[in-house]
This record gives sequence, C-alpha cells and structure tokens, in this order.
Amino acid sequence: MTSRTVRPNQQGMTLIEIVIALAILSILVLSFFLIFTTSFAHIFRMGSKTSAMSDAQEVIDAVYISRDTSEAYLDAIRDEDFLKLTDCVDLPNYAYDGTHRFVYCVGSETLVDSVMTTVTVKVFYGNGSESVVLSSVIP
Amino acid sequence: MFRYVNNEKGSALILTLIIMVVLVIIGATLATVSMAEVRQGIRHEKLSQAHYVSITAAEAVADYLISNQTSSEVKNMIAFLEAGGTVTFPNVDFPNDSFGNGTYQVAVTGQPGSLTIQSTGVVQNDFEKSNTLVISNVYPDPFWGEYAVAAKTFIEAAGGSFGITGSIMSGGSQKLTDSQLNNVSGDTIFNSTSGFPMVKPTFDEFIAEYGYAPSNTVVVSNGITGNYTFNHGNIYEIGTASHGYAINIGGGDVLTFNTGSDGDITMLNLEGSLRQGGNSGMTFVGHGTVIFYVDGDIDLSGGSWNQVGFSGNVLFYVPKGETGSRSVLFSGNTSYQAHIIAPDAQMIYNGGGSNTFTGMAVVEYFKGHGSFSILQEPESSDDLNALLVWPWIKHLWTN
Repeated sequence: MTSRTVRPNQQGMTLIEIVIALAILSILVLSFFLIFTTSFAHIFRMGSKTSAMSDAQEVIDAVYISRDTSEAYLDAIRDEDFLKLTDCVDLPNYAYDGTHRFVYCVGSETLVDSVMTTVTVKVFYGNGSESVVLSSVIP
Repeated sequence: MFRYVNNEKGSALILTLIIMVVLVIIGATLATVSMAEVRQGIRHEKLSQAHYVSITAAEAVADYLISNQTSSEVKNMIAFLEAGGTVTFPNVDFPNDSFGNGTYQVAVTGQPGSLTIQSTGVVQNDFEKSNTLVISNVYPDPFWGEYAVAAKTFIEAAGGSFGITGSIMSGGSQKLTDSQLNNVSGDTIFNSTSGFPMVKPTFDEFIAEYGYAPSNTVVVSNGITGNYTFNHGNIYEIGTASHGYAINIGGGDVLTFNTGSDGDITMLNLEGSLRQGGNSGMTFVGHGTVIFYVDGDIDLSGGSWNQVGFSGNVLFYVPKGETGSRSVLFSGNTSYQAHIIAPDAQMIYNGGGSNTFTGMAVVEYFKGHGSFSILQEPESSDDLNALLVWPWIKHLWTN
C-alpha cells in the first residue's frame, strides 16, 4: 500500500532530460572555463608585457644617461645578451631568434631642424611571439 | 519520513543556482580584473611612448637652441625669450612607430640666463605625458680648459701603453680600463654634465669676438703645398688647393712662422683641411701666438715640429662641419705643443712610442692608439671664453 503511494514520486529522468541537462552543463562549464582561462591568460600576459616595458625603459634610460650604445655596455647592465642591428629598418619585423630577448638599433630622426640620434629597443616576452618596442633620443 | 523526503523537492535547483551565481561572480570578477590589466598594460605602453616623445621633442628643441645659438635667428629668439616672451614649436608627427606615432607640443619660456622648455607628448590623442627641461647659460663646471683631454662623449685608448700627466674629463661613460686609468696622473671625470663649448661658426665672428685688428690680410687663394713663411701681424686667408686641403705639405717642406714676441698674433683662416705629412715640418720662431682657424680636418703626421715656450701659443680651432664629423689626427713620432679646441671633431692620436703631445684638447671624442704621452698645459678660462660660444647647457629635468 505504501509502495504504491511512493512509486509515482520515484520516477527517474528520461534520457532526453539527461542529455539536455548535460548539454546545458557542458555549455556552462565550457563558458566558465573559457572565461577563467582567458582571464588568467590576459592577466599573465599583461604582467609579462608590463615587465617587458619596464625592461625596455631601463635600457632606454641607461643609454640616455650614459650615451653608450655598445652591446658590451648593455650586456653588462642587464646581464643578458643584447643584439644590435645595424639598420633600424630591420627592427619592426625582427622575430625572436630564441637567444636574444633584447634587440636594439641606433637611428636618427630630424626634429626641429636638428638631426637627433635615437635608440630603439625591442623586448620579447612570453614565449617570444610578442614584443614591446620603445624609442627615445640620445642627447 | 516520506514527508521529510518530499520537503527536499527543488533543493538541487537552488543549489545549482547558488553555484552558478558564485561562478558568475568569480568569472565576472576575473574578467573585470583581466580587462583592467589589459587596459593598464596598454596605458603603460602608451604613456611610456608619450613620455619618450615628450623627452625627445624637448631634447630636439634644446639641441636646436644650443647648436644654433650663434645664428641671428636663434640669437633673436633667445633674446625674446629672456625678455619674457614665449615661443611655441609646431606640432610634428613622429613617423617612427616605436614612438607610438605620437605628436608633441613644445612651448619655451624664459628669463635672463635660463630657458624653460615645456614639452607634452601625445599618443593616440588620449595618452599625454609632459616634461620640462631647463637650459641655462651658466659657467661650465668643471671647466674644460683645465684638463689634458676634455671630450664631449668618450675617451678611449687601444693597444700599447700611454701616459697622461694631467686630468681627463668626458661627458660619456668610462671607456678606459682600470689599469689604463692608472696611467692618468690627475683627476678622471666621466659622465660630466659640464656644458661643452662651441667654436665661433664663422671666421668673421671669431675675429670680431677676439678683438684682433689685423694690420694686413694676405690672401692665398690656391692653398699652400710647399715651403711658406708666415709673419705676425697678418691674417692669412687660405683657400683650398686640391682634395679640400688648404695646406697640404710633405716631402721635407717646412712652414715657418715668425711669431714675434708675447702678444703678437699670426692668424690663419683655412677654408679647408690642414695636412702636414711625410718629412715636412713646422717651425715657430719667437714667442707670439699662432691661431689656426681650420674649416676642415687636421692631419699632422710630419717629421718635425719646432716650438719654444707655452703650448698655448699655437691654437687650433675647428668649427662644426656642415655635414659629418670633423677629425683631428696626430700620428708618427713627432712631439707637438698646441691647444686644440675642436668640440665637434674626433681626435685620433696614433702614438709612435716616443712622442709627446703637450697642451690641452677639447674634442668631441678622443681615441689613442699605441704608445703616446700627453703633458697637460691648461688654458685659462679668460683666454678661451672670448674665442668660444658660451654654452647654453641642459640643466634640469622636471615632471
């Protein structure tokens, strides 16, 4: 008698209901997974970019103060192997060679009727596929 | 019992909703933080570029004012600024991507002896950074005339051994090794911020400032390529012979200078380069002063140099070239006595082992090769100041 009363309440979900539930769950999990991974990736990437920008600024400021653009000088201040390109035209498309995180060149800009010597530094970060570039004058 | 079970109806939904709300909150927070990081990263990059655009523009304006301070246009501009005027420089787009394709706005104001350059770099219209550079017309400290070698950029030495009896100063970082520094008997100053001088850009301005009224002018329009005698009291206007040389002697030829006594002056205005090669020589008779105003390069590698008295009695002035860097080359085994004021020229000293350069040199860059020695004989500021452009120097950065 009791079992008859309970039986209707113990009816299981149909296969369709389970499939729909799994589909909704999958979408939700995937969405949250994407949000989380993308967010973390952006945070770490921007952290690396900010760090690379600071490195570039350090190099630019050192050259600005010392006026020394030799590889030996820059190698010493960062304790890393710098690569100096002979022509700044090559710098924008220069790809990471797996060794030199810092690549730079010395060029010139004509401003206010003065030919100013400039230094441009490219710093690779992450796995080397991304980089930041900064330029400044050498007084 | 069954009533209790029946009361759990819908709890899964509530639990699911709670978990989802928590996940949404965490996700939204992460996304917000992530977006903030991205914005901050971009902001950092653009502001850095704007900062260096601003600094570069201020340096360019400072360089323009300092380098051209003897031209009538800039002279008038500086006078206007010192009287309280304001000059703005037109905005210019930076063609270089690494400057963020930024633009700058520069305004210069002034007061007597001091000009303030206010520069703002702008990248993508929204990112601005301002810097202020002050340039001053102040006494150079330390004074470059008190050094054996004062170089605007670097002092270097390669190979051999050398000795410098005196002090050295450079505006760039130290390039000499510690052991090489032991060969310098006096002070060694690097990264000096002392303003370096400029030679008067034209000979007319040079003699006008010097206050020398020549009794006679001798024109040698085709240059000098052999023996020649110069006498004090004259200005020699020497044109170029060939290959840009105003004086080009060798093969035993001798230039003789009858310099007179203290206070007498012999002045040479060379419209091209000076070369003393082979076994040629220069002989200075007397204790007067010989001034070479050389609008070109100097190459002294000849066989003899006879001079008595103070090294400052022979003065080489080299103005800034219109294109490229000038050079002052000393080589061979001849000893020279002279003062060299060539703040925009490279000086190369190739020592032969037993030669000595006595005097002082103010150059853009100095490099010694082999074995050589330098004996410092300073030039007083009083003597030099009348002949040089009193430098406006970059003085102070403020944000």
